[in-house]
Formats: sequence, C-alpha cells, structure tokens
Amino acid sequence: MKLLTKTTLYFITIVLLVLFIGGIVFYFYFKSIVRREVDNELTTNMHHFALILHTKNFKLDSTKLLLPLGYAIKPLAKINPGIFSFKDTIMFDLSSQRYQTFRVIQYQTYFKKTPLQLSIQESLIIIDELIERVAVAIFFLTLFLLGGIFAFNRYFIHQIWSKFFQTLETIQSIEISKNDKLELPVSEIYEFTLLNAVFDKMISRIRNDYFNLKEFTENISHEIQNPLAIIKSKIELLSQNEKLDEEQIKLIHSLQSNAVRLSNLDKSLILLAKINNNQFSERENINIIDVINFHLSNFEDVIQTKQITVQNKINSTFQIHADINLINILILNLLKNAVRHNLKGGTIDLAIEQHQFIIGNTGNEQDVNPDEMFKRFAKATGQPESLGLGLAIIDKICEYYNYTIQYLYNNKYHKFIISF
Amino acid sequence: MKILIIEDEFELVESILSFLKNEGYTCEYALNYEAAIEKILLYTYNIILVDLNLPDGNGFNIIKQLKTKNFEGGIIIVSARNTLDDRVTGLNSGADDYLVKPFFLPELNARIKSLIRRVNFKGSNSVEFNELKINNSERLVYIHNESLDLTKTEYDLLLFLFTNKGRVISKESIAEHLWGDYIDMADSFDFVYTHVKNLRKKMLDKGACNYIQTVYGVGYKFIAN
Repeated sequence: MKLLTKTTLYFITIVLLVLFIGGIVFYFYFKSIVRREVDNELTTNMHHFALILHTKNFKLDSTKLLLPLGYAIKPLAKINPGIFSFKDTIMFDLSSQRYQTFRVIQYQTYFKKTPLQLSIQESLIIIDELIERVAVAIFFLTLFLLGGIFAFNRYFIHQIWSKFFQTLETIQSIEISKNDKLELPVSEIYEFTLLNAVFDKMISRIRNDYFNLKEFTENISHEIQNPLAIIKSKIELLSQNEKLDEEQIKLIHSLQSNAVRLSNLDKSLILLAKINNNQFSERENINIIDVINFHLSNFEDVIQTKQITVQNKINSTFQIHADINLINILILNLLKNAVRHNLKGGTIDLAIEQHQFIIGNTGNEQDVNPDEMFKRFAKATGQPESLGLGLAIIDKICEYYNYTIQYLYNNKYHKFIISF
Repeated sequence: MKILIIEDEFELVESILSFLKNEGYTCEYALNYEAAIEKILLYTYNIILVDLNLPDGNGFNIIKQLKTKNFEGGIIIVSARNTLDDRVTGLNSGADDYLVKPFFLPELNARIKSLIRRVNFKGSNSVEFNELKINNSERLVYIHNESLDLTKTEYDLLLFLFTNKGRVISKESIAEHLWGDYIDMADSFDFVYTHVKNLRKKMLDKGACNYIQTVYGVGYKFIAN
C-alpha cells in the first residue's frame, strides 16, 4: 500500500468520525438553544396573556372565540397559583395535518375568584427541520472535504513526491562500478534533502569499498604470487641437490605440490572475486561451437591418456554475447570436470540443443549433495587435491550472465545442462 | 649468451640467477625501473626478462624503450597478471613470450632456450647429444640417424626434459608445460607417468640409452652424461 493511500485512509476515517460526532453534538446543542428560545417566547407570551386577562373588561365567556390559535383557558377545581410549568405533548397539528411535538406552558391563576389554568402551545417542528438541515450540511461538508483531500493528494504526488521518485530512479540506475557523479534532484523539502544526503553518503561509501576491494583483489594476485614464485623456485633449487635422501625428497615434493595448490587456489579465488566485482564487462559475439572445439582439441591428449571416448553430437551452434575470458573459463571448467571425474575408458557426450549446451560423462557417484555441489569447497571425500572451486566458478559465471545450470545424475552418469 | 632479469623481488632473482648460471648464461639483474633503463642503455643483451609491475615504473615502458633502440634479442614478460587481455597486450607490445607467475624454473629455462633458437637460427636448428639428434624446425627426433616416431606430446616431453638435462624435473612442472590449464595437478602423476613410459620405451626400442631416469616421488631427470 502506498504511503499516501495509507495516510489518506487514516485521514478520511478521522474526518468521518469527527463529522459524525460533531453532527450529534451540534444537534443537541441546537436543540437546547431552540428549546430555550421557545420557552422564553412562551413565558413572555404567557405574561402578556395573564396581563390581558386581568384587565377589567375582560369577560371569561367571550374569550373562547377571541383567543388565538394555541391559546387556551381551562377552569380547574383546584389550582396551585403563580407557577409556570412546561411540558412536551404530542398533538394533531391542523396546519400540517399530522401529529407533532408541541411545547406547552401552563399557568394557573384566579380570575375573579374562579380558578383557571392558562396554557399556550407552540409547535416544535423547527427541531425536526434542524436534524434535516444539520444532516444535509454535514453531508455536503463531507463531500467537500473528501474532494479536497483527493485533489490535494493528486497535487501532492505530482508536485512534492515527484522528487522522491526521481531520487529512487536515480539510485536504481546507478552503477557502482562506474565513477559517475550521483545527481539527485534538489528538493525544498527537508526530509527529501536528508534522504538525498544519506544516499549520497551511502553511495560514495559503497563506491569507496568497491574500489578498495577491487584494488585489493588486483594487488593480492601480484602480492601472493610473488612469494609463491620465490617458494617454488627455491624448492626447485633445493631439489637439484644430489645429496638428498629419499625422505627429504618426499618432503620437498610435498612442499612443491602444496605451493602449486596454493597458487591455483589463489588464482581461482581471485577469478571469483573479479566476477563478483563486475570486472568482466566487455562483451563480444562468440560462436559457442568455436570455443568448445578449441578447448576440446587441447584436451585431446588428456582424453586419450585416460582412454575416454568423446561422443560429439554437436550439429548446430549459436552465438552468445559475453566476455570471451569468462566463456573460455566456463567451457574449460566444464570439460575439465567431465575429464577429471570420468572413469578410465569412460565416455563424454557433447550436444547442443537450441540455446543449451549439454555435457554428460560417466563417473562414480559423488557423495556431495547436488544442491551443495556448486558451493565453494564442496568436494567429494577421497579427493583432497581437488580445489573444490571448479563448479563454483562455473556457477558464478552462469549467475553473472543469467544462464541456468542443471545437474542430473543417474546410474553413474553425470549430466550438466547450461541454458544460455 | 647474456641475459638481463628485470624483477623487483630479489629472492626470485637469486633463484633465477642460480638456475640459469648452471646453463652457462651470463646473467645480470635490475631490481627497479630506473636501474633497468640504465642497463639497457649501456649494455646489450640477448634475452631480457621483464616483470610488468615494478615499484617505480611499468614494464611496458621498458619494452617500448628497447623497441626504439632496435633491440634485436628476445623479450620475455614475467607477470602475475594472467588474463587473456594481459597476454595479448604483452605480446602486442613487442614481447616474444609471456610467462605467468609463479612459474617453474625448468619452464623458464625451456622458454629461454626456445627463444634463443628462434632469435639465433630463425627457427631452424638441431641439437645432437650422443646417439640422439633433435631437429627443432622439423620437430623430429633421430636415434642413430634413424627417425623416431613420436606423438606431439612425447616430442614436447623429450624436448622439455632434454632442455633441462641434468636436473630433476617435477611431474607438476612437466604437466604444466605439456597441458597447462587442461589438467588438474591431482591427475598429473598418472599422466606424466604414462607419457614418460611410452617415450622411454620408444627410445629404448631404437637402441638409445635409458636417458630418462625416474626420481622416486618427485619426477624425472634427463641424465647429462
């Protein structure tokens, strides 16, 4: 839900609640005002009425015809003189032809020693009308407010939030690997300026980290390979010594092969880091079959020595747009994997289907979980010299170019399907 | 044969010097850019090894200087940078070979020898050793003047061992020389063993001495005498 929708909903709820409660309060307030007004008027009229009654030439008998509508004189047996009393009563109203609430004032007095009750009634129809008016007024007020909110929000989105969305767009399209200046839209709103400042700071920090890391991975290659080169060369010089006994030769050889392993490990890790850092951004059109055939021919010797039969069923090809370095590494690693884990006298099957490269090979069942297989250093037991990085590199390259890789195993047969 | 080694790691320079001295080369070295420039301006060399990353300069500039001086010897770049781009840039700059660090000393030796052959004889020469004759331009081997039928790998293997004769060559360096990235080091023992076995058998069948000696647990050695 958008922030604006959410706040608008809250706002509307509050407005409706306020208007509803306000309407009820208004109603009772107006009602009490109207009643007071009616009561005051009735009291005044009653004073006049009583005054007229006490004038000397007023005759009780003739009054009935003379009295205005709502005025009444009623003789009573016993009275409690001098007191005004009010009451509400429902009566049939002749003018509107229906029952209505009337306010009645009663006053008991003696007229020439005759106890009488004077009464004046007034219709309270005005209060019914009041409810109607208040309801209509609130209805229009609500409409007006909602319309106002809606119009205001549209203005809000387009005028004020537009800067926010521009910022988002800029952030989304920014490339960390390029040193472009971050140009965020200038806004007069404090919060957005703050947001921009935070983004600006964040991006420059990320960039800084990125370039540091990039420099580090570049330097580490040189820095680690140099001492390794020294170690390797010293071991070689040492191994030329003819006075060495068998035990010493074994030790030297162990040093040698581990130095080689360390060097290969370092190269592989640097490669993974470089891919992670987007350092292979060059793209060119590559014919996949050329890459496969090139590496396959280089493997010929190894394949022959291991007595592996290659069943090359590739009869079509396709172009991919990628960095040639990475595609070389991808194909090389796939072939190497198929050779390395193959059985003596086994087979390798190669095929291309549409945009898929399929490579299958015979080989013993691996005790690595297929889901774990593409992780770094996931290697089968009994192969301590394997770096466990070949498949991780394959996986990383596929991830980098959004290729999908599938691994299938069935009855001593491994199959990788790369969909480009 | 005069070789200049331009490399900032003194310990590595020491190893290279010690290894190449046995081959009968005269070696000099420069530990930084400035010293290297001075040397190439004052003296002439047959082979120059250049490290690209020097503390006070870039190896490419040294190669440029050499080219403007009409340097006629061979240039081998020695670098830790190993992407295709680096190699292409290196070779395009005028270098004759590109060796990635860390390398095996016998590999360096083989590259230097191969470069000397190319520079001196423009690719055509042959070496003789007792009953053995290796013709580099035709890539053929003769024993008692009878040609020996070798595969490409066997020929490369023999030449590599012969180039480093008298030295113990580890199976790792042989594997790297023959197959490079195309083999896992873990597999190398079996592979090298198979090819050495075949090569040795072919040579013995033609009546050659058993020159290729197995150094148990390490590798092989081409006996020098």
